[in-house]
Amino acid sequence: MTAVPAPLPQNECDRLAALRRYGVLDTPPEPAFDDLTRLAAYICGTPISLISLLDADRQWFKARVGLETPHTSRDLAFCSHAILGNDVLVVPDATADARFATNPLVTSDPHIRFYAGAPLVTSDGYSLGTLCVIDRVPRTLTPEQHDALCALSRQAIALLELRRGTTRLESAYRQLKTTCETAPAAIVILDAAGGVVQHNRMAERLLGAVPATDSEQRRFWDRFRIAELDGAPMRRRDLAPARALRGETTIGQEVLVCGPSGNPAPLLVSSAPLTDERGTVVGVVAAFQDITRLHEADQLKSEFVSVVSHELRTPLTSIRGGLQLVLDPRAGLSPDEATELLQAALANTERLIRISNDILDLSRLEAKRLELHKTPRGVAELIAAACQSVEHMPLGTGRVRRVVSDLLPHVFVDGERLVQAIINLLSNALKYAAPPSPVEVRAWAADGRLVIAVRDYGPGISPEDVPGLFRPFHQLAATRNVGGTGLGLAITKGIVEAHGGSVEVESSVGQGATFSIVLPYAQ
Amino acid sequence: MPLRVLLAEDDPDIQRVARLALRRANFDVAVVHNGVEALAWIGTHGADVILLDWVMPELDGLETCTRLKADPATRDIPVIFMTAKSQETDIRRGLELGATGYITKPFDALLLGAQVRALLESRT
Repeated sequence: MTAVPAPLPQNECDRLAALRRYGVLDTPPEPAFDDLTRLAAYICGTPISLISLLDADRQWFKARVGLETPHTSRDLAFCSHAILGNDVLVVPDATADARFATNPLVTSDPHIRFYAGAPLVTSDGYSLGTLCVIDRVPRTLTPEQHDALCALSRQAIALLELRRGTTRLESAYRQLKTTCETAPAAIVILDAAGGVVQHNRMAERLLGAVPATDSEQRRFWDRFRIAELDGAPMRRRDLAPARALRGETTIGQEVLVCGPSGNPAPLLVSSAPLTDERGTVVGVVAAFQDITRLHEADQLKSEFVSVVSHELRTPLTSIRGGLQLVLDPRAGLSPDEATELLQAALANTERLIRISNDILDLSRLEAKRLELHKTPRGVAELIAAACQSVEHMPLGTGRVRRVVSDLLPHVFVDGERLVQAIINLLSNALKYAAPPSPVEVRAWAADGRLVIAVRDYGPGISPEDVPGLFRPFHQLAATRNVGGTGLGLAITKGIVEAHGGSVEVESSVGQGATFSIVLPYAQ
Repeated sequence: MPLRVLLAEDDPDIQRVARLALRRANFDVAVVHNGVEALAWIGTHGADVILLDWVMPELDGLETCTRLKADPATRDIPVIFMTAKSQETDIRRGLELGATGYITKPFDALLLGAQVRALLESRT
């Protein structure tokens, strides 16, 4: 014997999609749904009551009274018929109904005779299933029972909607919480009185522990002194969160904040009012970003620009003034004076070219955009190339003495750049060398480190001057006119670091100085 | 009598340009290389006006100016900064030390003399 399957609803595809959106299939029992089936069974006086949801090929019971199985085949389901209409489907005696007389649920256990099912229709018109009552004897519903079954089915769909809303809210809350914890900012939610309602972990890191009690929370904010970025005083009521309490949204207010411990820190503050459903401000959300490093970078940049401007203006002075005087008949120059001015103008032009090349190199190094063309190179060969280059430079009377073993390994480097780095060290050393003592360059390999050391016997460097050596344009006064741009050591350090190595300095006053390029290499 | 200028400047190329530019404008020019030499020169020879570079070895222009203005014997000698430091904050700093004027590099070699004279006249 087989049942007569119900036709599929015309909107079956969309209906199934709608059902899935509720995310309720195969979830554990919930008391609120169980209560509805119990009430339906009481009111209708039946031994069985179900909240049945029609999946693609089964009916699954979210709640059930008087039936053990959690689902049955959709082909056998009375509910498949009930969802086709908008009203309650009542089957007073299944054995007398052609649709159900041969259904195994009728002819064998649970021996259904009576069925009444109210469709569960969503607000957008999809029948997800039914709330039904079932008996093993033929019978019917009173009008009151009919009405109650309809009312309970509406409650069931309302519960499903609520459940779906809650799930979505919980998911949105989790998203928001993760977002807040991931944001690189301290985020706090304050109530209208300024008490902390919620905060993320960053808030504790940046602002310190948030106290538990309301009164302490209000005092919590009193611990901070605020000022404009330049240190000028700022009224507390002008701070973004205070403005948010008055309904204003502020994005990116820069403030200097001094907490109970520690130095003043520049913070970027954003804040917006939080309103209730009538639009009344009930609190504010405020985000604080520590911009200390940005601020420092900004200051470094201005300093750099100011120093570059100075370094460009100095040679321009000789070029402009020299050419003006040579061209002016009233300057009264001797031929020698005119020649000297022109030569100085030319030399300073070349200096400008060197400076602009070095600035480009430095900016590529700092942006990590320097392209290295690495090939296996012999260390001795690189040192020889560097020594040859400095021999042609007008760097005083010093000489370079090479103390380089033939057994040095090959290294995988950008040869041209590494030679540039060695030249920088050699030319610095030659500027400082005390003639007739030569500059020495040594190289050795040990413990996976290759060292190229350049030693001079010049005046040496005092320990407090060492950190500044690698800063751009940080030239010691004595070398200002030796032809360097003040960028050589910064570039050398950048090139060596781009190779994964480091530049080390050993010196004391009166003892000369040793600058070493240290590179890792694979044995 | 030509005006006696003391030029304190460490860059030899700029020394040459400034010296010739001032000679062209009929100044009597003495040149020193840093602040220490400038103070020593003033102590011995004096000058009608001092043109002072800012960035110099030994003693920079700011400190030199401060010392000149602190000493009753030299405080009335007009000091004019002549420097490549040309940001607004630099200029304000220099003038706040009591300098009579502030000329930024690269200066105009054909107008330098006139500029110095104008600054000296505006002072009286």
